[in-house]
Amino acid sequence: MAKKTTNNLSPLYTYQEGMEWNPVEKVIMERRSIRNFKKEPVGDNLIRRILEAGRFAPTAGNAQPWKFIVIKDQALIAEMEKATVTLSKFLMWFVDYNRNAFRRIFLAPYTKFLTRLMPNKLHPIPFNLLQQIAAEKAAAYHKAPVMILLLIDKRGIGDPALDAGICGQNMVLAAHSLGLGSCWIGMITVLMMNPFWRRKLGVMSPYELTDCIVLGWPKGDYDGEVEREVQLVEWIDADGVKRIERLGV
Amino acid sequence: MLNLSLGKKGKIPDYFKESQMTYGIVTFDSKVCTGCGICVSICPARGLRLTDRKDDSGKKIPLLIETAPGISLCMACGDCSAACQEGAIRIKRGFNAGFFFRKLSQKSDLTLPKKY
Repeated sequence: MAKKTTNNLSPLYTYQEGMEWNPVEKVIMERRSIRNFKKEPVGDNLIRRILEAGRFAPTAGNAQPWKFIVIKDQALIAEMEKATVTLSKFLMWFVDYNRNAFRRIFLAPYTKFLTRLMPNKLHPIPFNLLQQIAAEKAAAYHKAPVMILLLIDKRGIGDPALDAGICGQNMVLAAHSLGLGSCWIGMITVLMMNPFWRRKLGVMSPYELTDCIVLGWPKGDYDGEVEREVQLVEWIDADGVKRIERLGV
Repeated sequence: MLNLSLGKKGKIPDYFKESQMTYGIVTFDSKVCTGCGICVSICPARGLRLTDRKDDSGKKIPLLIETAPGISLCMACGDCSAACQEGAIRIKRGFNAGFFFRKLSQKSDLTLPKKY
């Protein structure tokens, strides 16, 4: 697949049709989520620099509805990993209908009903991942040296979760451009179901935690462009003329 | 845009039935693959493993884990193909759940980012 090839990047703030990526676009296109980290610690000032990129993200009404918690304690991260496995085992016991014939018949309708209530949480992808974590085949936090918890202030303007998302992506792109690897971890929601962990991590009202970012030096070179689905984009031109275009072909 | 009937929109698919789900398919070029296993270590869904036996040329080629007949864990993220130093991995089919979770404005063909 396409590897990093370009050294002749386009300059910033110009556009010509079909030109090479500029450095910002290159970081965006070649960023991959990294799940394999070196043990090497990340310097405090480097973390501060990344947080700074998040601090200057656009938000609705300049609300800045967030709070950051940086975890560098490896023992704590290992403990969180263990607790996530225990909790996913507990959760999957109630919903996993792929274990035996009995469950397939009696549990599937119930799980499907729950899926209707919580479609985002029981989507097939997180469902499969939870299954893998419960079987201890997949890791939740990937033994990352640094973890940034992205707390959302529920009293923000409009949709505070969206603001936090923009902030997080700013940090991820900044981290990537500095040579670090990063990955969004949504699995922390599982941990947040447990009041013990909410208290332990200091996630108190008005704050809530749904996503976190792990950072570290990548073990190996995983970056590169990947193939994504072709999108059907609707354009509404002048005089209300509508057309549908295939984007990316 | 895809228009689904009400019955199809409302039905929650069975995640482990091939007829109701489209999981990703990745293909490994056994001629180019060196069997280094970097794809197995990077897979976000942990959906790959190396074959148990070595093939004729003494390499272990990765393959997709099947959790049920025709069901893999692949969501076609492409991390493996980006990580592969040899360029031996191609995503053949994207992920798309059926019925309720069906994507409406995406096509199944996959392309690299295009420089417009």
